[in-house]
Order: sequence, then C-alpha cells, then structure tokens
Amino acid sequence: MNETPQPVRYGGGPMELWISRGLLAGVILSGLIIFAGLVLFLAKGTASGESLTNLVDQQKAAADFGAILRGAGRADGKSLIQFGLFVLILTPISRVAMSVFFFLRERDRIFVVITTTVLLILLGGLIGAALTQ
Amino acid sequence: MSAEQSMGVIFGTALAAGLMGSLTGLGGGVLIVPLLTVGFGLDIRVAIGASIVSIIATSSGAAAAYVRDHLTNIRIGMLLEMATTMGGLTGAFVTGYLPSGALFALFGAVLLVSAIPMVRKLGEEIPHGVLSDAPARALRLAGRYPDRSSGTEIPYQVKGVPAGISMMYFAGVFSGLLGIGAGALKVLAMDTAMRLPMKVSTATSNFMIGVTAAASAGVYFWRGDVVPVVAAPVALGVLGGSLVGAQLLLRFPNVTVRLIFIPVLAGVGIEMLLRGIGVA
Repeated sequence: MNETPQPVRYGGGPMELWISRGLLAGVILSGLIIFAGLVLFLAKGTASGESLTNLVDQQKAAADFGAILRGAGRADGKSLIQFGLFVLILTPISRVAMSVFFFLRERDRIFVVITTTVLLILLGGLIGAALTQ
Repeated sequence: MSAEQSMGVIFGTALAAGLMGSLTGLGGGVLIVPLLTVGFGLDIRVAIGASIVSIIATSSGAAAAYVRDHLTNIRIGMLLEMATTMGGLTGAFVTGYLPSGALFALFGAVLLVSAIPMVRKLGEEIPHGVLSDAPARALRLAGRYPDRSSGTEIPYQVKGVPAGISMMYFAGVFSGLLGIGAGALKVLAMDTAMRLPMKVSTATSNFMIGVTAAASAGVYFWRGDVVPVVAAPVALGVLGGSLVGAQLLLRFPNVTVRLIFIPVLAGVGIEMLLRGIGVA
C-alpha cells in the first residue's frame, strides 16, 4: 500500500457513458410523464374556480402506490403526475444500481461494497418510508 | 388568483429559478421554497417536498453533462454518498417533527451561508502540496481532470477522507431537512477537508446532489408532502430553466450572474429568517 497511486482519468469509460445516458433518459422520461399528467389534469377542469391552497389541501395525503398505478392506468392526470415524480425519484437510484454492476464487472470489491451500501440505504429508505405510512 | 393562474406563475418563476440556479451552480432549489411559502402562502413542508423533487431533475441533468466532460470523480462521489444519503434520510424524518418556524429560520440561515462562497471565492483552483492519505490510497481516490484553458490534464491527490465523510453527513441532513441541494456545503467539505480542485469539487457535488435528494424525496413522497399541483409546475419549470441555463453558461460572464444573485439570496435569506423567528 506504499506505492504512489497512478492517477486515473475519470470519464470516457463505459460506466461514465451509461451513467450519463441513464440520468438524462430518466429525467426526460419523467418530465414527459409529468407534463402529460399536468395537461390531463388541467383539461379535466378540476383546477378552475378553485384556489391553489384548496387544491393543495385536497391533494395533500399520504401516497398510495396501488392507487397511483391504477389511476395512471386509466390516464388520471393527478396519478400520472405522481407516477412521473416517482420515476424521477427512481432515476438517481438506478444510477447507483448501474454502478454496482460496473464495479462488479471491474472486480473492484471495495467499491462493490460501497455502492451496494448506498443502494441499500436508498431502497431501505424508500421502502421503509412507504411501509410506515 | 385561480389555481390555474397560480400554477402558471409557479411554472414561470421556477423556470427563472432553474435558469439562475444553473448559471450560478447553486441549483434552483434555494429560491423555490421562499417562492412557494412567502409568495403563495403554502405550508413549508409542501414547498420543501416540491423543491426536493425538482432538485433531482436539475442535478441529474447537470451531472450527466459533467460526467461526460470528465470532471466528476465518481469514486469519491460514491464513497461520500454513503454519508449524504444517511444524512438525507435523517433530515427528511426530522422535518416531519420540527415546527414550521424552526424550518423557516434554519432555511434563512442556510441561505445566508450559501451566499458566502459567492462573495468570496473559496479555495484554490488547483491546491498544491496535497499528499493522499492512507484511506485515499486504499480506495484509489486520486485522479486527474482535463483543463480546457491550458489543454492539459491536471493530476490531483486526496486527503482528509474521514473528515470529508463526517461533513458530508451534515450536508445530507440539511439537504433532506430543507429540500435543497446543499451544494455549497458539499463543495465546502470537499474543498476544505479533502483539498480537491474547485472544478472537481463542483462537478462531484452536483453528481451527489441527485442521489442525496432521492434518499429524502421518498420520505416526502409517501408522507404526502409532494403535492402534484405544486410539484408538477415546479419540476417542469426548474428542469426547463436549467436546460436553457446550461446552454447559456458557455457564453455568459459568471461575474454578472453573481452580482444579480447575491442580493437576491441575501434578501430572501433575511426574509425567511425573520419569518422563522416571528418578526415578519
């Protein structure tokens, strides 16, 4: 462990390229879903004649994943927005999952452990928070 | 104002916030919470919920560009994310139990602190005389990055890994607590404790912000604080603004942007602080 480490140039490798593409794809996908949901929501006219604070009070309830999926399936605007926001939250989490895979392939054991830990914290938080609602 | 008009105004202001945020490197989040609370009288937790989600959008967009430009030190980012995600979860849980006044006051204080690195440029562009410590060697954290102005690659060493990790936990707590990227705190940690070059700190901080925000966003999402009518215009606006900002960044003088942004930050910070302690 005494030798001077060879500086590494980051970027340009397959991991960087896929992370970069994956992040952009996730953000664009979620943006499109949220946009579609917003258009559908406004088209339904629920928002007209209401004040924003009233709408917020109506919508401020613990999220229910089953209800979001069912609502998104029948093109309900509010549920689609929620689904799009959920995809956005999943985007960085999938980035971490991708890097676990790349470090596994590079047989970089310490970083497999590090990235898996980050992934477990993220998934544990997401699932734990869902279950305790 | 009807809800539709309010959503239109929120979208427009989020667009401007995203633009300003990406031009200054602060992300749009710091302006979203004051806008929604002071401007629209919404519950601060709803404002934080919308902001934390929008941060994922901007950070992921910016991170994609930085990673492609070889400025991000992915290994350092991943290592420190262990601390920022734990901090993010802690912060998001604590927010549910803090009184609104305390959240306002904390937000104002953090805003004012975030303005400091903009007034006084922190750290050295390329720190000298840094020798990698044992953890940095074992984890192979040293790297090099391309410098556009000189056209060469600049190698750098890394130290202060344990100190950096501890500071990152607190950066994560503030991110989850207030729905901000806490980029200023992250850069501060990498700059002072780990002595990374400024460009690498900035890019790596951006890389971590999305993952940190994702940790706490889940908690806000299930708790019902990410309200669709508010979060949708905010996320779309900030995303649009930061995409345009990233294009403008290449031909816009940084100094001008800072001169506009500093008084805005300071004013908003003081307003939030006063509101928090019950004066305003």
